[in-house]
Amino acid sequence: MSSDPDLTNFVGLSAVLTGYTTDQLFPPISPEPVAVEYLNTLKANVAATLVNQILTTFQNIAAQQPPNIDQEVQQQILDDPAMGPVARNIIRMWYLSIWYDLNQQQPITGFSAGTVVSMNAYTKGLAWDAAQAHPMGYSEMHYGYWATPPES
Amino acid sequence: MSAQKNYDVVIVGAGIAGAIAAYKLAQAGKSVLILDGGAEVPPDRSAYMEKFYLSMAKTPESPYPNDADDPRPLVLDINTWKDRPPTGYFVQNGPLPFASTYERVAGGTTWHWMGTSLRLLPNDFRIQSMYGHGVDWPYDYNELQPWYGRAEWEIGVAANVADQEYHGLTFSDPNDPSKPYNYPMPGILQAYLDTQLAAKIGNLTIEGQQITVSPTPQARNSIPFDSRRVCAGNTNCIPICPIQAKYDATIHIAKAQNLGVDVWYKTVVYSLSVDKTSGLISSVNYKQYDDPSGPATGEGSVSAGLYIMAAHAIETPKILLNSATNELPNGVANSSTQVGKNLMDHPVQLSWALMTDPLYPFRGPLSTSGIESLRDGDFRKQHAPFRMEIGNEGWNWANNDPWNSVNEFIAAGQFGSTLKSNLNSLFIRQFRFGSLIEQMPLETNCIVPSKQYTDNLGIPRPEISYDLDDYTKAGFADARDVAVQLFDVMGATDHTTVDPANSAAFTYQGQTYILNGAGHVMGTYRMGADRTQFVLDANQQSYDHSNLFMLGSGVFPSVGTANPTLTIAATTLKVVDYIIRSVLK
Repeated sequence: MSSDPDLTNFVGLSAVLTGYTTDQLFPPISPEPVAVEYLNTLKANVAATLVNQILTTFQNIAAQQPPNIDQEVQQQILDDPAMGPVARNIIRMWYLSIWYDLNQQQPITGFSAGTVVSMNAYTKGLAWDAAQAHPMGYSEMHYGYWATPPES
Repeated sequence: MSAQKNYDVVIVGAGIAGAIAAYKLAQAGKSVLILDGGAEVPPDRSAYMEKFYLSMAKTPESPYPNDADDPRPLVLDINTWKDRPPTGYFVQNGPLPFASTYERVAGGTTWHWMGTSLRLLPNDFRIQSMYGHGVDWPYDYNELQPWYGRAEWEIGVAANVADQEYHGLTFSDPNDPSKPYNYPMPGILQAYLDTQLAAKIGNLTIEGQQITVSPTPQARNSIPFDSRRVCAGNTNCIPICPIQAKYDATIHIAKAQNLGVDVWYKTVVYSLSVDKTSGLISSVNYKQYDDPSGPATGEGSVSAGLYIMAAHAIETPKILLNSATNELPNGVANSSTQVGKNLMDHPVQLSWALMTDPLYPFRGPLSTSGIESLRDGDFRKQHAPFRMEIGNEGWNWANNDPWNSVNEFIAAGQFGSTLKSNLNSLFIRQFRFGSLIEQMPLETNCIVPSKQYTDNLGIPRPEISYDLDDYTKAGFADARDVAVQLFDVMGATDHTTVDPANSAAFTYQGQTYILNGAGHVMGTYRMGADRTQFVLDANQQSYDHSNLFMLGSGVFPSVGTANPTLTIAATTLKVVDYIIRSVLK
């Protein structure tokens, strides 16, 4: 894990928000860790005080090692009127590789305005992993793999 | 511009028809020039891939340049087709929107075609005689059959003959009808999803036809072919195959150029001139640009012995009609007054559902199978036939997934492992049918050059009137009924939604349906035996100007239910053979 405390907290929070492990989100050996891109995107689009509030809140939750960390993150971050929308945008970013503009009609939908974070990010969107597939337009498989179910 | 050579042939349009024609003419020793409005073919597709990856709406056109000087319709234009002034390239009069699009770039729309390479059925060539609807072709399946075989070898189609011998389709060696035929490559493996659907449908008869899930003939490589790679299942044939395992017309542009064919890019043809004495075409007139959103940087004419229009079924009639003069007030090649009329598509009925068991979509080519059973039958006396394409992309077309469902679940408060497992359960069970309905020709479905709206170069934009007749609508309704019936038989849950406020909604017998385009732009300069009713004779030669030929799906008198590209390639090869043997000998 990173020596950057912001990144450590961001990845830890992201794991709770997405349902993936910190190792899946920030692999020990990764040439282009998308987590770094996503944290930079977050910081570029959200006021520093609010980013700090989210990361610090998570750090405090994690430090207490609560029995149900999901519940704490929901109550303290997702249900918070200021932090909640940003946290939900972090989930969208991990799954769809998109940073959606926060200042637009809610709720955000698949047709809302936003920006694809990067080509690298597109190829690592978690929605495709959740579908046990690959990003459309980015397959590392070979001819005929589609004739049988994916390895679980 | 480069010093002008004496060309035997000038071709307008570097899509599949123009590129194959240029290649074959060059092989026969003819000097050929192609004019294309778009920028030249890029050295590799990385810039297009980057544009695709970074596009928010991954529409068919998303990887390609959108140049003001060479404009084309966009998929999302349909949401605002009634706006005035028009926000898209088309000026649409309705009552329904024309829902299909095309590319104006070298290689044409084959950049984002599916690769589906079905032949038309024998009865598709004689629907008036057999069923009393539409019009017959000026020749039959047997006459086109060898050209289908040659086209399949030219572009590289993967299929097994045994899977394709339905509805009277026959196959034999193009050069020796007594010998059997083989496609150049073995068929593409069917997706797991297809075999699951086939098993669940089981033994079922609808409207007198046994329902069969058939492997689709596809112009993508199942083995290395023509120096191109094998399909890796990127699930992205539309908008762009990342590895060119699927045929596109840039392959024939390169082959033609290797034989000395000249291609002038960024050269937008806007009219043809006619010699008053001979009645022959005397020149093609064009504008050129440098900066794709800047002004025209040049204007000129080019002449040749023979002219071939291959600019697809909207731009070709636009150019012909825009060529009107005092002597030819109806435009060029239009003594029949049929140029621009009988615009057709394959209206698509989308039905989507969730299976009980996993199907694992989003893997493999976008579609590997279809139900071809209802493409023909006695029911064609009552309603239009259709093929049911089985999608491998879940609800991507139907519901903009994964984007829509991910957002919907997050907006509903889901996160963490609940979100992940709910998305998994949803996505792995998604599937859809896209039924492509045969549309009947209507004279009132037409494209004319707009008198009011021009593009950035001052060229009139296409103004379109479009509707579906009741026979076509009845086929559309039947396609929906059959989809529901199949969902029931398979134990799948229908999730199809119909929003009456949709800009492409229509009603038929009290039910509301949503019109989707197949991207199949057809009709508008059709061939037929009667010069008062058709623009071209059976050799796709203008009745009015003997040195003018036209290629592409615009020549189809009626359209059947086969995706048109293979028939475009087959008719092109047939016509170019005629030109070489009989016209330019």
